[in-house]
Amino acid sequence: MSSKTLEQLQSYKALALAPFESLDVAVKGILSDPTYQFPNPDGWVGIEVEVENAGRAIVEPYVWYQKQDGSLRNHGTEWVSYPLPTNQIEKSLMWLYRCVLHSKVDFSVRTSIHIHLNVRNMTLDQILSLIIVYMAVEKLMFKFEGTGRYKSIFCVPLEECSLLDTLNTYVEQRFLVEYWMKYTAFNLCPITSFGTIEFRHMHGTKDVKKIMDWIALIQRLEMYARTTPSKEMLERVTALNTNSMYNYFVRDIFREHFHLLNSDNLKDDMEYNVMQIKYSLSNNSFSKELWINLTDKSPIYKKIKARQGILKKNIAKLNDTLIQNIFVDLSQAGTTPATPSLSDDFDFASRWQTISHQHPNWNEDQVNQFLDVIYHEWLEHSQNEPQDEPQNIILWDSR
Amino acid sequence: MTWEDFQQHYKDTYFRIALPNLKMKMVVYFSEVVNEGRSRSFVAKTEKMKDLILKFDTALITDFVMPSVRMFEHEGLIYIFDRLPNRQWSRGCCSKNSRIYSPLGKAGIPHISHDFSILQSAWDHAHTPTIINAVAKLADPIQIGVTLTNHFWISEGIKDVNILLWYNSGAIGYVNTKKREIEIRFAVLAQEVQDYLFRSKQEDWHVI
Repeated sequence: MSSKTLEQLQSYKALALAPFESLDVAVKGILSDPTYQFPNPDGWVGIEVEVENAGRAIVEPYVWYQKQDGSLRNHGTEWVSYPLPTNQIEKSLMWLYRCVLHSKVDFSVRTSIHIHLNVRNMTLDQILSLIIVYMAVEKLMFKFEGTGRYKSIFCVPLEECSLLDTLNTYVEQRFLVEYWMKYTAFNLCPITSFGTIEFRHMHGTKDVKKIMDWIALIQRLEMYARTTPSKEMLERVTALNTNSMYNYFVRDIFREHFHLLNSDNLKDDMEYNVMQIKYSLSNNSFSKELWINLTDKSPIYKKIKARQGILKKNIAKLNDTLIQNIFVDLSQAGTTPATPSLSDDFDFASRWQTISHQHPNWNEDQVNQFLDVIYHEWLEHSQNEPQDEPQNIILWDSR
Repeated sequence: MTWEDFQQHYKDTYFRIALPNLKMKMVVYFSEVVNEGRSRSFVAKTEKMKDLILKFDTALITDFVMPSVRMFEHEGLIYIFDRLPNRQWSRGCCSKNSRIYSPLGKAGIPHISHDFSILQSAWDHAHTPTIINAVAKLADPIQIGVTLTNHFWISEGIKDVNILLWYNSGAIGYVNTKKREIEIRFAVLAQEVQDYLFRSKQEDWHVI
């Protein structure tokens, strides 16, 4: 893998420098001096803050500009920062939240905050290290966010998609372009355009301290990846197997920011992702060799072929039987004026048997529940006046 | 949720509904709008029944989340459910935001067809609690694989008759029920298999 940095491998647009001096003048007497201790004094980040009911900036935003965002509502907009060196992060955030935004802006569930981490001066090997260490602690990062963004369609965790299955093909930057998708929580796509990795986890919030803590955690990952070659990173991750080792590993990454994380169940929270890293980056020659030996005499092959025959027979037998017949009953029930008698009109026993037969994997409770709903629907329809709708269609309305 | 939002997020997707008096939720596919007027309704297709017409009612439709189970069985086969981080608006399950695939499909095994209509199985599925139970279940002629966890499962052998242990779509070792041994052939996951045995209280099994 190349030892060159990304900016040596490809040309990027020069970073647009914000008017920091003008901001310094503007904040004098309004904001107190920054006090937050970020771990990487040499880092650069970009920040995107989505807001609804945005309105116009109250004062000159200096280091921020507005972009329209189609995913938001109620005059939603995105405030995007210029690239910010670490020593400008706190001041810039304070300026935005205290002075630029008016008091009625809304951080609804649709809004989020994205942090772009500058990785132009990282090598491909360091990026791979960052992917590995991020993957290992992904759940902890989502727990820090804390509002359930892992279920968002715009912030999919790596744990729930298969992007890392192809990680063993990571040898060239091409990997990042061809395989990655924007709406992952950990988005590698901007590497090729801006030279950044985007962290999309954070929910919209007015809590500036939480945003700064979040940036500090991201910088911790970056710093750990910069100082740990990918081979060594993989060895460290592969060696994780006891609670204390997980604890040591996470403390080693986050150091004085460790306390920001929920570390109650480190092993449970990290284990699957660690397993996935091990699997993705190791050569499973056993499995490959087995597949080479797959023939039509292989037990699994023979069983699958036999299964197909069995299922065809079953389908022929069961086709258009149970469930459809029940709804034929329902359609006819519309003409029944009075509440039907249980014993005369609804044969629980035979229907129970048929449902069990058609759903062999259902347990008794599931069959009973299903039967229950069918009976109640049947009952409801039996009590209704005859309807004009097509008789094999059921109308459900729980209001 | 408004009717317009509902259509934008759920038309042409699969999701679960809780019907009156039904404790078990049912997967349906929102195929078309029937009535846009005061009585707003849509066609919901189900796997086993005829089409339903449901009136739009947020109390009726209660479960928009994707299945939490990652690996499940359907008619004896193993499937994996994955989310796809594409740019799209659908919240219900559909091919734009998720996929279902067979871990055996990659390897020239006879064609295994499936689509999202099997999603009910993903929500209903419960992993078999022990290896002994799983091996017993595997004796069923239609049962090709049996899941032990969201990632481990067993199947018949490929090269010989020994039962295989899998991690997702890769075989990682053999299961010997007589000796109660798991022979791990992909060593990096040996600890995870050991952890699985410990957590599922099968400590009389050994990993070699």
